[in-house]
Amino acid sequence: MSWTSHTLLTLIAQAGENGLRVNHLAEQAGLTRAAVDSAMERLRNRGLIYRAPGAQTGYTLTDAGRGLLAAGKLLKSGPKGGHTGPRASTPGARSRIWNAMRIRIKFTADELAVLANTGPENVRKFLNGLARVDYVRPMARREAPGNPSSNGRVRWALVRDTGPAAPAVNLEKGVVFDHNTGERLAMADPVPEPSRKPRG
Amino acid sequence: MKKQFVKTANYERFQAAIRAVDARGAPEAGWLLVAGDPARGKSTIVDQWAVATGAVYLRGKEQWTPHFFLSELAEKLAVDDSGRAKDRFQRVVAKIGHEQTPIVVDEVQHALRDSAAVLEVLRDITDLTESVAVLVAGVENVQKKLERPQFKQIASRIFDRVEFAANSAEDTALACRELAEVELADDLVNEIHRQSAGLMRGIVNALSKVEAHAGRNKLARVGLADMAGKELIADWRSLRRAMGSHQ
Repeated sequence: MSWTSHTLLTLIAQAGENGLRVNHLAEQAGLTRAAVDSAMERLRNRGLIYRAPGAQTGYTLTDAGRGLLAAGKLLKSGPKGGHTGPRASTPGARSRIWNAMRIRIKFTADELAVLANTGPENVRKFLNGLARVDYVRPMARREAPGNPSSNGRVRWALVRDTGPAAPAVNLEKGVVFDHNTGERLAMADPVPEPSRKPRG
Repeated sequence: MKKQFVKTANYERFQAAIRAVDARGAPEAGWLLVAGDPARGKSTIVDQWAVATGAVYLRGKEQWTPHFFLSELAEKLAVDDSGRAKDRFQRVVAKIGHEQTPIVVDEVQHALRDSAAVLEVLRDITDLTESVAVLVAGVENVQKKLERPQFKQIASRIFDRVEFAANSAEDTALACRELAEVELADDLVNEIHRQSAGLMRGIVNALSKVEAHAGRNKLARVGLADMAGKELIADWRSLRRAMGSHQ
């Protein structure tokens, strides 16, 4: 690990659960703000530190950050070994679905499919995975049905927006990897269907 | 019913305006104002463009101040929003400028308070980054307000204005063709257009009922006579009243 990165990780670890803000880190480390910004960006990109958007608290270590510090491993530049982790967030259909979710906040699977120009099955799988890690929740009231034989579609709400990168949902392995926070989340049991009471 | 995006005349107008903004001569005049009555497809078309381009999307709020606006922008971009306003502004500009991220501001009327202080911040950002900004007016008269002398600097950033009109009969026919799983006769398409007043919500509603009827009666093609006595759009009179006028 470079001296700067190691120093910053150590200071953040010592700060505990409230974490440290960048200004305080620069002061305590005796570094310029620009040097700290640059190092923090690398640490963020590697999923070693996290700060919730809009949070009043400072940066804290992720599990990966704590693990690295505990192991005393070095953070080196260059290739980082074989790729065994989650796939990088790419500008594909899931990324478009995630963008559409962040724009609409409340939505049906069909609305997302139209906005993201992808198949409804892909949207449903993505929503299913995100619901099982409590990123989205089905709303109590369904969409008003278009005809008498329909119950109306399930409406969903985005309840955890961690940033612009779409979380990677792997239903087979039962995990969601959040590229914004560096968290790997295990899925809970499938979310039950909401009531069949349509909106309005 | 098929789930797909219908490229109506409003969509084509919006896309043409975006292409013109992209090819503009003055880099700082990169704003597009989108206006039109409710339920004419502004949100769907602008949102679809925002999703496709990875634009950062903000919905105007009554409580918006320049500080609130910049914090929300930083949060959406996942940029560190701590520290002084100057630092936060520079980080936002660096992120947007580097990726040339377009910005969408929906319900832009909320950004007009306090001499449009929020739009002044947006102007600073787009002047520095040369990014495209799409402003969506949720109410009438936004452009008239921006034409006041005190907003001259801001108004000069608006490259073009797209007014969303009610869908034409051709748009309704296109939607019926692209969305319906069954074939619709011309007389039924015309009736759907009349009752829906060109509102996409009404068209979709009617298609859903036509498809359900066709499924029950095993019809591959449905005409107006097949739907005799059936309601195509629930409470379509109030739908038309909500529109105010019918073309």
